Amino acid sequence: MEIFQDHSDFRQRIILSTLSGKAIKIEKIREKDEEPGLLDYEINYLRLIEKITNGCEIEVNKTGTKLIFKPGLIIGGNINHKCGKSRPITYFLEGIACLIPFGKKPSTITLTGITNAEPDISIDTFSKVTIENIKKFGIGDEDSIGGNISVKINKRATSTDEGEVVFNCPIVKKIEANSACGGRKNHQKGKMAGNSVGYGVSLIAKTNTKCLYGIDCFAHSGEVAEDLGKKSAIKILTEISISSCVDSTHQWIMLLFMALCPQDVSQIKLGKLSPYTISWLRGIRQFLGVLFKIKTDPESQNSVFLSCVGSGLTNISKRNF
Amino acid sequence: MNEEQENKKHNKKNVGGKFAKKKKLMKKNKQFPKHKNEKAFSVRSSVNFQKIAQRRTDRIEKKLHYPIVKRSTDDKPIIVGVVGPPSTGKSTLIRSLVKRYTKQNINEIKGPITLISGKNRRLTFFESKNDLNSMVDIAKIADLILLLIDASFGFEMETFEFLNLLQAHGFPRVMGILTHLDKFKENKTLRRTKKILKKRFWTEIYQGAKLFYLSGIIYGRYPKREILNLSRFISVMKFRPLIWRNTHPFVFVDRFEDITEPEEIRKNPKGDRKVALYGYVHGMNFKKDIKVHIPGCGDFRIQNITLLPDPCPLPTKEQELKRRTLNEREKILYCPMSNVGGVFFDKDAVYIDIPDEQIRFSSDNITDHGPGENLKIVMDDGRVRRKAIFEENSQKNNKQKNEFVFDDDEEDEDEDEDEIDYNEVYNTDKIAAHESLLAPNININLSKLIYGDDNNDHNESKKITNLSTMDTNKIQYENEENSDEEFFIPVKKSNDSNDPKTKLRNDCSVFSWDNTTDINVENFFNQEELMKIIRQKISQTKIGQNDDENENENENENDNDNDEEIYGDFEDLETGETFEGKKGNFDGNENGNENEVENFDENENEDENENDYHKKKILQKEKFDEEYDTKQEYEDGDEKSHSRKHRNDKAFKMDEKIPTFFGELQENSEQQNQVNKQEFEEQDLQTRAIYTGCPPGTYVRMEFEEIPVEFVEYFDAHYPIIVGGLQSHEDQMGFVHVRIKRHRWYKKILKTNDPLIISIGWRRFQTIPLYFITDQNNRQRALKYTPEHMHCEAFFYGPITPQNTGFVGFQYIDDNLAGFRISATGVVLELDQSVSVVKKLKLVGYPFKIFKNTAFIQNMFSTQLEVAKFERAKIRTVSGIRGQIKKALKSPPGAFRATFEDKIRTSDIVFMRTWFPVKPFNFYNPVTSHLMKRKPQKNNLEISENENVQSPTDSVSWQPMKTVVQLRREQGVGPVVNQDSLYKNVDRKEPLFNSLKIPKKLQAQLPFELKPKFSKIQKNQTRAVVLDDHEKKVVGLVNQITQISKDKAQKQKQLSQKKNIEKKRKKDKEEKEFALRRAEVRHRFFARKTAFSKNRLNSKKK
Repeated sequence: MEIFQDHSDFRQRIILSTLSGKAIKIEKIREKDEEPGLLDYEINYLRLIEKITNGCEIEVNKTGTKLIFKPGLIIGGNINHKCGKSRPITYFLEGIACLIPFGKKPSTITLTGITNAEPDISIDTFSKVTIENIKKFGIGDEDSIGGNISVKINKRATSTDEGEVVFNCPIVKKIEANSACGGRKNHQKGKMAGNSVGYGVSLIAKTNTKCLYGIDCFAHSGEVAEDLGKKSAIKILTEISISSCVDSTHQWIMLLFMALCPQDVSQIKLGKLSPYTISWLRGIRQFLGVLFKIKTDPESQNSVFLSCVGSGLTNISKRNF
Repeated sequence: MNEEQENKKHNKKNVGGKFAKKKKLMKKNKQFPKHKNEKAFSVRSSVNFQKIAQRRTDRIEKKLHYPIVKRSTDDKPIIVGVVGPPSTGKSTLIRSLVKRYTKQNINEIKGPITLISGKNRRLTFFESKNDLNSMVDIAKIADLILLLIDASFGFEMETFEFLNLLQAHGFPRVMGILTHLDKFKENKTLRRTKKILKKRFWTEIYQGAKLFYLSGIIYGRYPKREILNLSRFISVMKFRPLIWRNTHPFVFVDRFEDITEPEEIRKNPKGDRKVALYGYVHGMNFKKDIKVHIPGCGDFRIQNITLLPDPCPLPTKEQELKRRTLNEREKILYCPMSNVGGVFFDKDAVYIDIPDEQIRFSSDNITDHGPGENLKIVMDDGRVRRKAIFEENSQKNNKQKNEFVFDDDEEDEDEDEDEIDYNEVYNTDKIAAHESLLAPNININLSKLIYGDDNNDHNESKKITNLSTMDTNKIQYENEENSDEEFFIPVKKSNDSNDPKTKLRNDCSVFSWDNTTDINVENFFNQEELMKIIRQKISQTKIGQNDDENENENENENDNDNDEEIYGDFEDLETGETFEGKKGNFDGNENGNENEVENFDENENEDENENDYHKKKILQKEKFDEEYDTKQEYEDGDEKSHSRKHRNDKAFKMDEKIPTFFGELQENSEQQNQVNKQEFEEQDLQTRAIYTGCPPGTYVRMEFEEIPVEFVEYFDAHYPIIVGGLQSHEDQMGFVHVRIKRHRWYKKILKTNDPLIISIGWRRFQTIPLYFITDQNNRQRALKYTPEHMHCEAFFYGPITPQNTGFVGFQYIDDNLAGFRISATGVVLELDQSVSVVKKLKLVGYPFKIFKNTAFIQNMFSTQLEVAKFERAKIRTVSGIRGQIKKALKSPPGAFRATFEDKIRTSDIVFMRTWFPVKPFNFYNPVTSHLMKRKPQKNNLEISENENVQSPTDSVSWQPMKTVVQLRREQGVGPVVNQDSLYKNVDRKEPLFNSLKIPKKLQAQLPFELKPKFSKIQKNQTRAVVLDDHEKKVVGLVNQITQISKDKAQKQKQLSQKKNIEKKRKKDKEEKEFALRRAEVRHRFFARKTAFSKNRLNSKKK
């Protein structure tokens, strides 16, 4: 059992625990806060995890400051879940997108809640960028069972929890090692993509090597649309200026999937590692025992090469005949 | 005795008439004629030819296998298991082979023997005991099995049991060896036996499996020639990767040390021990963090794993590689448990005997530091013994390492200075630390920041790096220590989270821009250098080959210093202010002066269409090129090939050229292999081991804590010890869904809820399976017994093992069982945490009131609530009338109203068919055979002597949970009899039928035929008889006479009965006397005989 003493990286711990099968215990969750214990969206996330798994045991003490999580096997299937108002749907989607490909059956997960809001990525970025990135590991190709991976936005909502998103995900036996996304240079195009009814902008850039960058900008009250535009432009240009394969938001998911590959070498070129990514790197080592080899890029000063040998995770939930 | 068929070679004729003819023709045509009649070899029937061609391609296709990535390299030692029933010549074979390879003699074979058999092959021999646990373990790890069979006796059960074990655990290569052939006196019987045995062996493995014949023993070894042949076969043997071993690392332990502090042992002699195990890594890369299972002992976590110098290295020098044969010095033998070759392995030291003449003594003390080993010289009995002590310091760092990963740093703040020693913290393994110092500086910094020193991060927690400020000067982190602070942002402390904004930010993948963008909006486009970079990024593509494609895509919502307006409208944003490099005739050189701003107002749709068109064009061209090229190759090939053989070759060639599915697969896996190789090529082994784990073929030392004391106490090198690595999840418990079949040679069927010992993955354990069968509607119906000749499925509680893993089940694992011990085989289908098996349950009720189609039923349920749960459920009477439960009645409790399709009768029994969930027992009992005292070995008392344990006779074999039958048999209890299930005489009452009454009205209407007839003759009617005097007399006389004769008969009967009893008594008495006499005679006779033999013995002794 892995024991933690703070509340940070909640999703990461649950994901890694479920994937590696190691139980976790988190103590001192916001012990000294005004609102101690787990927050409502964290509880909500745990509920969702309970729905997609079988045999998982969750034990929370009365104040919510202590959590014992024993993971079960991932099942998937048709699931409806209400995500609540405190966190957008993408918070939950990110938290299950890396789990359900390893489930027992292909999933159709209907989530209701906020589609586009701060601080998480917008649903557009998720469907256009995150999904594309996941696909690079062979999820949704001809070997996977249950069709293509896709996100369908039925309803949008920015402040009410009426938005509805259907996430379809096939299952795979194992994912493919991926080094194709290493060291690319030329960026090709900055293209404006979907918007969310006047509340924000999602920009997606695609390189000629099919690398995708996506950023989101949400308008705050009293903000002029011009400023919003400028801000979003700066963001996307910043991402473009770094010779990376993914934007800073998707570093973690790429690294996670690399660590889940069969025992082959995967390589990736990333820009600056965000703190979130670094905490993931640590978590991956702790749970999966995968250490990344980090090498600086001799050509560019603000990018690094990361490579690792996968942990050889296979889908143990899937049924064989 | 090797029977390789060798055909006589064809000699070309150089004389004679034919040759002369051919020569003549050759002179004429200037080439040797291919055929005499060219027409005869052309295509005669196109249909036939097509068939032949089809067949050829089919055969080629059939040969293909899904490519399996080979994870392990070829230079790991090949494990050769020598298996066979007792006294079939296993030890003799190993001795002979060792003698052949190394010219050394081994007295006692204990533990694995590793030796170098060729320039690039090492072998590890292991002699397996005849006990089932050893056989199971060796079947799981061996690459090659030498299966010894005593030909004079024939096959034994163990041989077949072992073959079945192999089958379940991924069939390695098997070579059969027939021994004791010298016991045959007649040549004919020998030949016949050989043939019979070979035939049986082939059916068991595959047609044409190699079977060796070893004739008699010469000087305690097999004949040289035969062993040489055998060794040649071993040296050319090729191995296919087996799935379990390709996905799980393992170490075959060839050395064992107890490294517990003596003081601790003294304090607590029965406490857990600390143990070091040594061996070669097999399978795949052995990572430090994985959990391991030691079969026969349990699950453990490795405390420390260290790479050691190879004790049995392959020749590496160039000149050595050039030579065909091995140098005598390179023929190394390594078998630490057998005490061979002057190497003696103590519990905590290695003693090496070196002859005096091989040592040059110097005046200094020799302090030779091999990596990880510290060698000393100890003089002992005139011999030089060098003691190698392994340092145990390395695990000191272990605890530190676990601390720094995710703990709250506040408490550690004061101790920061103490923990700065980077080498200590970064890597627990000494060697790794040593290596990382040599590595380039930058590497250390990054890895260190992420994985290593968390304290460092903590100190700079107040400084928040700004990712959006893309000042390149600031990002220069190479070789600059300070820059680390800006590059990495420490994880936020929990105290900060009171701020609502940060609270929201918590656990979010998006990088926090908010703090920064507001400030930098104005400055962003003023940063010249940054803009340059961005411009390059966006415009660079134009230089590439697909210019057309990119030309029009160079739009960007970027604005320059001018600060042009950006409209709120998104449509405008897209096509509005764009920045782009020089359009049109664009050169790579002109990169620098692209400050021109142009309004780009073209219709986008048009552009995209154009792009699509270009793309299509390019694709089409590529496709054409590809097709054209391959076609040409094909044709080229055709011209060259004439003979059939050539055609085959060509077909293979085609495979390479045309991208087939198989070709693609192969290519992909090859590419991946290449990447795997290249990635860590420049690093040396030890650095590589940090990232990838210890690769197969390396020699490692593993430390374990909390090993049960029995493992050390009862350690016996004759039994294999494996450290099997487990993948994630595999240490978890769950319900394993398997397909299972009773072995056709096992005499009984298996019963649900009877324990079964299962060998699966690395493990051996006892569990209680629940057998079931899947019905057509996917209902999993529980079975009481396994079907006799059919597969069924089962759930058992046990460790999670990947799908498609094979397993074997035993009911008993005692050695002294006559029958076939393998009771079931199967494969894992699925893993789950819950079970959905059901069994049929019939609820029975009786009607107590019947209306037309409605009836009140009682005794099926006991409360109203129960009834409520089953409302609308289907019910049925025994006679087949269907119905439905409607509603509960108020009284009696549990009674309900039901409707039926027809009127039921009071005598009908109503029942409801339901399905009741069944769960298998959560029972898991690992077979801890290594923790049991073994039966004493001949020369194997050293360990027990050292440990001061009791006499070796009190060996206890592992006791599994007993089956119900076993328990009953032991306690003399018969099966539980359910009185209700017994067959008894049915006591049926004669049914009472009321007489048929037909109303008079109806009677009147009946035809005469059917009218009841009243002229019935009354039976049993007695009539009064009046006798006259004479008649009376006659009757009286007759009565008297009968009475007299009756009395007489009775008397006679009594008399004869009496006589019989008397006779019997007499006879019994006589018999008794006779028996007594006979016993006396016998007694006397045997007493004499024993006295006689005693006398003889005594006289002999004298």
